[in-house]
Parts: sequence; structure tokens; C-alpha cells
Amino acid sequence: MGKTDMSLIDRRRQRRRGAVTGATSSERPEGGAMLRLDHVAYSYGGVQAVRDVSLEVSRGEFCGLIGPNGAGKSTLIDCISGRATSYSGAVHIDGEEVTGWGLQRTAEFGLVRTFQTSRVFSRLSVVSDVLVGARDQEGTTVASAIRGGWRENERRHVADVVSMLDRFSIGHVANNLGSELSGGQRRLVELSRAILTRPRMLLLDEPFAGVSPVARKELARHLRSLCEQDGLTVLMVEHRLDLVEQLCDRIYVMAEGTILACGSMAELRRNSSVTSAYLGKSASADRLAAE
Amino acid sequence: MLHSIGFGLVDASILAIAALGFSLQFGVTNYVNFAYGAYLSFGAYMAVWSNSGPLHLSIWLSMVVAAVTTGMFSWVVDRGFLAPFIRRRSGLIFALIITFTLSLVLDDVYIVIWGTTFRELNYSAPHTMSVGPFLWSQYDVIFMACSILLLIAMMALLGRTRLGRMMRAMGDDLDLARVCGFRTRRVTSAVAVISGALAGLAGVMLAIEQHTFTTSIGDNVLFLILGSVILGGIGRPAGAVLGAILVGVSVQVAVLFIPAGLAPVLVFVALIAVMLLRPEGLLGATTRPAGQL
Amino acid sequence: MSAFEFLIISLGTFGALNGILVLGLNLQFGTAGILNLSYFTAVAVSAYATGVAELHHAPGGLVQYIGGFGWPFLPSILFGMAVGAGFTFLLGSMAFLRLREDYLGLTLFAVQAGCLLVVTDYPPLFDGPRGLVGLSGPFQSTLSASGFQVEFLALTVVVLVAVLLVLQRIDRSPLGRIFRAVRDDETAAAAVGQDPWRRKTAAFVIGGATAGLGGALFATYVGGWDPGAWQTPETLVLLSALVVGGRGRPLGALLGSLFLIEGINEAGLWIPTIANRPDLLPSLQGIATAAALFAFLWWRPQGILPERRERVADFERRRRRLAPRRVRRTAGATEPGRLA
Repeated sequence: MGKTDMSLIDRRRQRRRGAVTGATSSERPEGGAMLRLDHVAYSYGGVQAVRDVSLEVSRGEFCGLIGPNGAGKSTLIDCISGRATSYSGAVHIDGEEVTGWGLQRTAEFGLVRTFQTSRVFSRLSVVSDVLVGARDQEGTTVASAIRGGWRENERRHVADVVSMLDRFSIGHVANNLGSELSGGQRRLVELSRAILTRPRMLLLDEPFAGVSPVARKELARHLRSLCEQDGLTVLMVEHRLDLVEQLCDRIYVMAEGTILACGSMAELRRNSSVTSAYLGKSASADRLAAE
Repeated sequence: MLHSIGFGLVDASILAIAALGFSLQFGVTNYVNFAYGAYLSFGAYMAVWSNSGPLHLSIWLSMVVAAVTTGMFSWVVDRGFLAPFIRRRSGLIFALIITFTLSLVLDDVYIVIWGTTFRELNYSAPHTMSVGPFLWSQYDVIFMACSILLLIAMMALLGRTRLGRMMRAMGDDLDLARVCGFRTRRVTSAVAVISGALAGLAGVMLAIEQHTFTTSIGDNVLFLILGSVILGGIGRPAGAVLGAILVGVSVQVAVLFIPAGLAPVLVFVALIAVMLLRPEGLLGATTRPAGQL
Repeated sequence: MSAFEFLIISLGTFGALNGILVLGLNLQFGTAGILNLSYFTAVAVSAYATGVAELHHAPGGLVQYIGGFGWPFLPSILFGMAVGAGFTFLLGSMAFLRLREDYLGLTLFAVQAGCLLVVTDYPPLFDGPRGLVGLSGPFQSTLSASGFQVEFLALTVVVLVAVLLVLQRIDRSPLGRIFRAVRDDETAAAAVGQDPWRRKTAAFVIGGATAGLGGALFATYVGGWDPGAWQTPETLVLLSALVVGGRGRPLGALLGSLFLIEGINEAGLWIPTIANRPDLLPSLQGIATAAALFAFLWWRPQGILPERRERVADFERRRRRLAPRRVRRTAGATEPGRLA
């Protein structure tokens, strides 16, 4: 994207960029850690799921988190997002310490996550579902709900929702209930809701699992544009290494509860501890099968 | 004071038998069957029918009849009504609504069939004996012996038999149990029969203890049964009995110090405390059961 | 006033009172997803509170109860309502904070069972099984019997309409949407910044206040209150009305209460009493109510009037704009030139 004259299209694109993160690319502060983990450890039910994890994600970066099954990636996401609170170590988001904060408080602060199995509100229509995420809604307290006067504000948010749904090409299911959606549609609805909260950072837990190849391309394109155009910071847990390579600026590798390595896909491929962590198990399985 | 403890132990025995059945059902199916109290009432009425009715059976035979018929009744209700309904509308909320409504319907049906007059059983008068520091009748002693025997039987069932292992597996993770090929319907049927029989037995014992009773006999103690099971730990027979002992004895002892009417408050406070502080109960395990109904 | 007129008017009053109660439960269960099996306990507590506020000091001796302030009608009603809301708040703050989902239903059930036992067996609280008598409605002493009936009917209808308007407003507001979201998936709601505990408590307490209002009015209309008449089955009746009429929809709840409660009550009045079994009728009514609940749960759990689905078009401005708008391609747009 080279420099262009400020045509109507560019002006609108700049405005839309700001609409998601509240900052246009020209104003985006350079660098600075959006997420910082210091020696986070967590065990439950007698299992040490996360042993000693320290990592950093810079503002506007698209980071990947990969690793073999059972490495503790989802558990780590649970800790960061506040779904698990009794972990040791420290978590900082945008400079603020959020250690031990619950899921709701962390989300309110601006770290919003999605789930391995997409969660939608089954008895709400898609437009209502996504609307739940909207920031600065009026009529959300008892007094203001009864008093009224929130229709105009609500209408504006609905416009945002509809344009978001159109952007993800699911505008045609806007009136469907959550229970009437396909798996891929649920993913996108959950993602729309998360983005509508105008988060500081997005945590994605295997967003491509169970998504059809066609939808995969679309989703990848959307995620990348969110990062590039809107300046959103993303940390994504994913198994499909091709997608990770395509989307992520930097990739962390996690195995057995701790960070093995960090770098670009090419660097990681050259890293022997990474390859043995990933391929070691399957390599020995191949050997067993051959015998 | 010691006498109160003695009476408490008798109450506890009856509660324990009921709690064993309830805990089994809750532990395997993972939903609360509010209609359990109605099964107790059913047992009491079956005993009256066999005892004072055309058959004129002795009180002991009537107890057996009550247990058997209630077991069958529970099986019929489960197979014909509860299980299909819960399969069709799965989800905890629906299960609660269904069993809650069922308990009230059964109460109404009992009134239609048997009316609201107080009933009595025919049995030879209890003579009180001094057993150590306690004052017990021959019935009390038999009840306590029964509860201990049944506790041992239940522990053997769950711990050593194949059926018991399947029950525990289903309680832990229903989907996994199905995948492993367990005949879950057979197991739930067995659970219905066993818990129903225990409820029926406890119902008769209760009727004997109370001398006269009406259709709400079972519902009145459901609260205490719930308390015992939660206190002691779900799905553990020893926990159910321990909870029953605690509830039974403390209610009797508490009556010495506080007005009788406030005794439920005591149980309720203990219930809430356990649920907040140690939800798995005194003897329960700390892992949550997974899988849907 | 003829007996027939009296019947019609009292049916109307009971209908309105039950309508108020059902609206409260609809907010708790239909919209917020809290299966409150102890709903009627809140109603009863409020009724009692109204009673001990309105009545004068217990005469002592055989009749005993706490309180007895001798207040006039309106403060007593408000007191009853406040006690109902407060009781519900206490219950909610305890129940929602830590309890497992399945324990919640259990706890609420235990509450109503326990409360019933305590109130019945502990006379110093509310005169035990005998209950309170001698309550009166507004201006009852100055009106004739039939005048009072008409007046109370008007009063309850006005209150019902007010409650309906308020609860419907909440239902259709962004707050109502958040209640539903928290009902459908607490974790997902929390993950976008909504506090499930705060929201559930809010819905719970508002429902409790409504229960309190209904209970207070009930007590002053009937003139008395005792545990025998107000036991567990009452919650079931309301629950059935919700399931049959349509849960999550205030008008649906009212419809259900009309059909089910009024229908079964009314049918009951026309059936001649079976000779020596006066207890039979309430039981048959109970069985009929339960049968309706089961039937709808099996075949049509969303009820007669299902919960409203918010469509994109619902948010559009009602007034048509004078100047034609550029066609915007949104979901549900059919003809060009029309406001999509």
C-alpha cells in the first residue's frame, strides 16, 4: 500500500481504521508491549499445565502461539484472559497489571478472547448477539432502560454491527438465531462480537479449527486486514502451521508448559529443539509403524 | 443429651437409607430428582396397602413389599416418562422443571387415589430398651442395622461390581461412557430401581417412626435428604450416610437448645455453608463431572 | 352486587394479581434464565411483611407475630415490596456468587422448603399454621363490600398495566438483551465485558420486587395469609403459565396466566364439588396444570407466544423519512427504494 492522494476511498478507510481501535495507523504508537507475561505458571488438578512462561506481544503485532498437543497453550490463554485466576507470575496489558483479574474485568479493560468452540448466544439473533459486545451503549442500567432515550444510540451501534457482518460476508444471517448457524458462521459471529468491543488486544484460540477451506481463506484475509488496517494487536493459538506462517509476524513455540523458542517460521524450522518437540513424537510413531 | 443423640441416630438411619438412594441417582444421572420425596410417600402407602389392606401382611413383609413395589414404580416412571423427556429436552434447567413438576403431580395423584386422611400401619407396639446410654425400640435397632447393611451393600455394588463401575463411569462422564459402549439405558434403569427401592424402604420406616402420616410425608423430609447428600458428598455412599448422621443427630440435639421450628434453619445454614465453601461435600472428590445428561 | 357479578370481578382481580406475579417470574426465568423455584417464597415473605406492617401489635396469648406497626395501606404495600426485594437480593447474592449451576436450582428449592417448614412450625414468627388475618385494602372500612371489590379490581388492573409497561421496556432495552446474553452463555458474555453476577442479580431483584408487589396486594385483597394456602404448587402454577404462554416475553407470560391460571380456576368453579371429596378439586387442577406444562415442554417449549427475535429491520426508524434515502444493502432488504 503505497502513498496515494487522499481520495474519498482513502479518507473513508482511515475513518474506519479509527473506528476499530480508536487510532489511525498514522497515530499508532510505535512498539511498546501490549501484552507482557512474566514467569506465569499454573497448575490444576495436580497437573502443571503452564510451567514458566514469559512473552511479549508488541502493539499492532500479529503473534502466533503454536506447539504440540498438551503443551498448555489453551491453558495459557485461559490465564491471560482471566478465565483462570490462580496462576503465579504477572500479566501486563498495555502497561497495566492485570494479574488475577477475572474474565469479565480483563475483557472490560480491553483484552477480548474467542474460544476453541465458538460461543454464540443461541437464542439471540446474530445482530443482537454481536450487539452485546458494543462499547458505550446506553440503556444498560435499570434506570436508563426504563427512562428511555437509548434508541438513537442503539441504532448507531446496529449500523456498526451490520457493516461488520457485511465485512465478514455473513450479513445474510443477521436475523438468524445463534442455534441456526453453521460452524463457520458461529466463528465469524463470535469474532465480530469480539471486534465490536473495540479491544486493545484480541486473543484467538484456534480460530481456524473446523472451518472449511473456502472460509479459511476469507477468515485469514479478514484477520490480516484487522491487524494491518485497523492496528489491532492479536495473539493467536493455531495448529495449522501454514496459516500461522501466512498471518503471523512473530511466532512463539510452546511445549510442555514452557516457551521453547520465538521467531519467524523460517527461523523456527531451523531450530532443532522445535522440530523435535513437534516431530519427535510423530517421528517415533512412524518408526513404530514401520516396525 | 445422650438420649437426643440416640434419637438422632435413628433418624439418621432412615435418612441414610433415603440419602443412599438419592445420592446414587444424583451421582449417576447428574440431575436432582425432586420427585424422590414422592417415592418415599409411595413406599409408605404401599406398606399400608399390604399391611392393613386385603393381604394383612406382617409389618416386616410389608416393608419388603414397599421396597419392591416402589422400586418397580420408580422404574416405570423413569423408563416411561423421565428418561424419554430428558432425552428430548436435554439440559439441566429442563430436568429440574420436569422433576419438580413431577413431584407435585405425584402428590396430587396420591391425594386423588388415597385422599388426605391420616394413615396408620398395623404393627406390634414398640417396646423401648436401654442399649447402653440410649433408649431405643426394637424397630429403631432394626432400622439402624438395616442402614449399616445397606451402606455396605451399596459400597460393594459401586466398588466391586461391573454394574457399579459403569454407574461411576456414567456419573463422571456420560459421553465417554456411551462411547465405551456401556449400556447406559440399562444402567439408568438399574439406578431407578435401586434408588426407588431404597426410597420405599425409607418411607415405610418413616411411617413407622411417625405413627400417622399423609401424602406429604416424603416431601417433608426431602429437604433433610438433600442436606445430607450435599453435606456428605455426591455420589459417595459413605458420604450420604455421614451427612445423614450429621443432619439427624444435630437436628435432635439442636432441638434441646433452640425452638423446634427453627431446626430447618440450622440445616439450611449448614447446606449453604457447604455449598459455598466445599461444594463437593465432606467426602466428595474435587473434580466436576463432565458431559451432558 | 349479585353473586355472579362478584364472581366475575373477583376472577378479574385474581387474574390481574397473578398477571403481576407471572411478569416477575418471567423476568427472572424467561429473560434471565434463573429457574427460581422459590419465587413464591418471596411472594409469601412480602405478604407477611405487608401483614405485620398493617396489623397492629399482636394481641398476644394464642396469636403471635413479629412487627405489627399499624401502618396505612400504601406504606404497608411498599414495605412488603421492599422486604420482597431485599429477601430476593440476599438469596441472589448468596446463590449466584459461588454455586455450581446445578446447585442453584437445588438451593432455591431448599430455600422454599426450609422457609415453609420454619414459618409453619415456629409460631412466634408469623403465627404458625394459622397465619395472619385481618388485613385490609385501601379505604376498605369506608366502602361497601361491593364497592371495595370494584375499587380493588381497578387498583390491580392499573398496577398490572404499570408493571407490564415497565417490564416490557426493560425487556426490549439493551439491558434486556444483556440479560438474555448472560442467560444463554455466561462465559461468552463475560468475555466481552459483561458481569454475569451483576446482571443476574439485577434481574433477580427486579423480579423479586414484582413478586413483592403482587404478594402485598394479594394479602390485602384476601385479607389474610397462612402457609397452608401458599405452598410449593403455587410456583408451579406460575411456571406453567410461563412455559405455556411463552417465556421471555411479557405478553406471552400474561397470556399463559390468563389461559392457564384463570382457565383452570374458572373451570374449577363450574365443576360441581364431588360429594365427599372436597380435596379432589385442587388436586385435579394441579394435575391439569402440570399436564399442560408437560405437554408444552414436550411439543412446544417456546410457548404460545415465543420470545421476540430482534431483526435488523426492527431497529430502523419508524417514521419514514421525507427525502428518499440511498438504498443500503443490508440483510433483509427486499425492494429497492424501501427503507431496508
